[in-house]
Amino acid sequence: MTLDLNLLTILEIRDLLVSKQISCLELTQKYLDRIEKFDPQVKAFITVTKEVALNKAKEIDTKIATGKPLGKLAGAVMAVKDIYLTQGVETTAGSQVLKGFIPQYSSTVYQHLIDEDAILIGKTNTDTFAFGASTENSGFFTSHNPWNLDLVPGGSSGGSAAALSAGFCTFALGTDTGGSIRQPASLCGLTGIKTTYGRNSRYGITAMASSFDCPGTFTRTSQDAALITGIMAGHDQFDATSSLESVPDYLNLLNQSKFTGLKIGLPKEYFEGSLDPEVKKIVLNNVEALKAQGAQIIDISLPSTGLGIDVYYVLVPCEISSNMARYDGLRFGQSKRDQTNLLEYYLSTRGEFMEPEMKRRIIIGTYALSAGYYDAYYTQAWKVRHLIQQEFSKAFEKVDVILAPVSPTPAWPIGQKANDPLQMYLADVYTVCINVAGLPSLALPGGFTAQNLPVGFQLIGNYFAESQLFSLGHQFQNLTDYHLKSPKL
Amino acid sequence: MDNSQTPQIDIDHVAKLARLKLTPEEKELYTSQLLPILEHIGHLSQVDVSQIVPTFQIGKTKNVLRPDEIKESLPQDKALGQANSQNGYFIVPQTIDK
Repeated sequence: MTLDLNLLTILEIRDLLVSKQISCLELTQKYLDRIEKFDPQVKAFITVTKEVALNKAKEIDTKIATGKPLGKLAGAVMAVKDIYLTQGVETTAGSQVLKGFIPQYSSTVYQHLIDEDAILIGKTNTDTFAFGASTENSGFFTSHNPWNLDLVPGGSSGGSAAALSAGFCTFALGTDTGGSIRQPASLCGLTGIKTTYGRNSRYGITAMASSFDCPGTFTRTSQDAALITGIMAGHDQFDATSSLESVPDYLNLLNQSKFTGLKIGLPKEYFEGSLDPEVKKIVLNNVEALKAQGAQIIDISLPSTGLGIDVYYVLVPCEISSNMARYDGLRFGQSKRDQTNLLEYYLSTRGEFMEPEMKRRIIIGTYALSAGYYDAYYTQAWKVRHLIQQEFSKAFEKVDVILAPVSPTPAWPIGQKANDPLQMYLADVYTVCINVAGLPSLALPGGFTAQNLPVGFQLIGNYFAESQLFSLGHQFQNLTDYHLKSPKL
Repeated sequence: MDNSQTPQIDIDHVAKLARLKLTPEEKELYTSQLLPILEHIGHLSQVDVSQIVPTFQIGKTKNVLRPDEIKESLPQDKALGQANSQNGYFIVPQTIDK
């Protein structure tokens, strides 16, 4: 049968399998064929796990044939950012540092999805250890935006976004430390969720900045995001920062929220400055559409927004410099084994295999944490972090959700910002504050530019308001068809 | 940090603390790229945070404790599986003079 892999949702796949319109093996093979045909151009994957995928597909077909219970994600083909540990499958974190590393265990959230019969089809490209906003900092290659192959897919989870956008999978996993799910989702026309900090376990995902990192998903629809998040989320004994807050049945709450009477805050700071006029127009068109649905639009101010980037680029490199200290070459990863002196071994292993952006961030963090600077940078940045958090809390006394752009521009040409780290950092201007505050945010496809490039916007919710965001996203996607568009490859 | 001065970075000292061997070209490149970043993040020092009590976590969770019980963990062969090892030990360069 002919299937548009670009449009299939998880629930549709399940129906197709259960009604025996297609076998899981056939379906998986279709995805693999598409990867073989188009990934040489898109370059979404570092590793394609053909054997793993086909074996899992056979296992699901056997379950169907023998009437055994199926997992909630049966037949959903999943691309996973290469910073998630996957037992027995090479995990590089997009870096030469971990090239050849075969994890001895799997990350908790990935295991939850496999347990519900999701199929791993491959590990996707990322900026080295998720340090970047375009995948150009990958230690292997740059991924391309399926909407225009000369452009970046965004990052750091750009390989995952490109894979889903190109129809190589049913959904994909990413991580969002400063926008790394929402921004590539916006640039590739996808739905991306950054959950509340602590909602999803970080265990078994290479750590970037431990007080910011949020695992999450790329999906075609808010409905799929609700389904997967319901499975991923929850407390994990191996991540002390994972929340004990109970996990709602997101999927069954998709109709709970309505735009009628909803108070939507528009923070003026998110519509100023470097925002591309076309992006601004598209985002504001959606605001008008929601107003027409009965939403109440309220102008708000988050005065410390501009400081978000500064807080982020102090605290994140500090946490990175600490987290990256574990890459000593002794227990895993590549190393300079010819060195006979321990200090020389550390220096040359790290000097040789770490990529430039990794070194850059370690240097900033080490500097900011070093004697004489600690209070001026680290302690001060934590205080400003709380200031930003308080501003959001005050805003949520007046509004139900906050609507904002995701990326100041649509996807940009590969190479344009690659040599100017500060410009690349500023690409995160509308996303980082949400990570600084630890809030949830759902990025939704919101339209296209004259050049036919997707533009997204984000709905930011209060702490643990994911069910509200998924529900509003679902209502929005019932009204619009932006999420149903796919690129021609 | 003195706000009136352009930030300085002693790249050799920082690289040593970070256990990174850098080439002369890398030192020059990173120093030139870091100064504008340090200048940018220097804005933080001007923010009035006198009303903020410093804490170092973002969620509501505090002091997560658990009983100190011995539980099953990664078996030795797996733990050593990705390392240069011999007879159940990690092999590291010599650290003490003979």
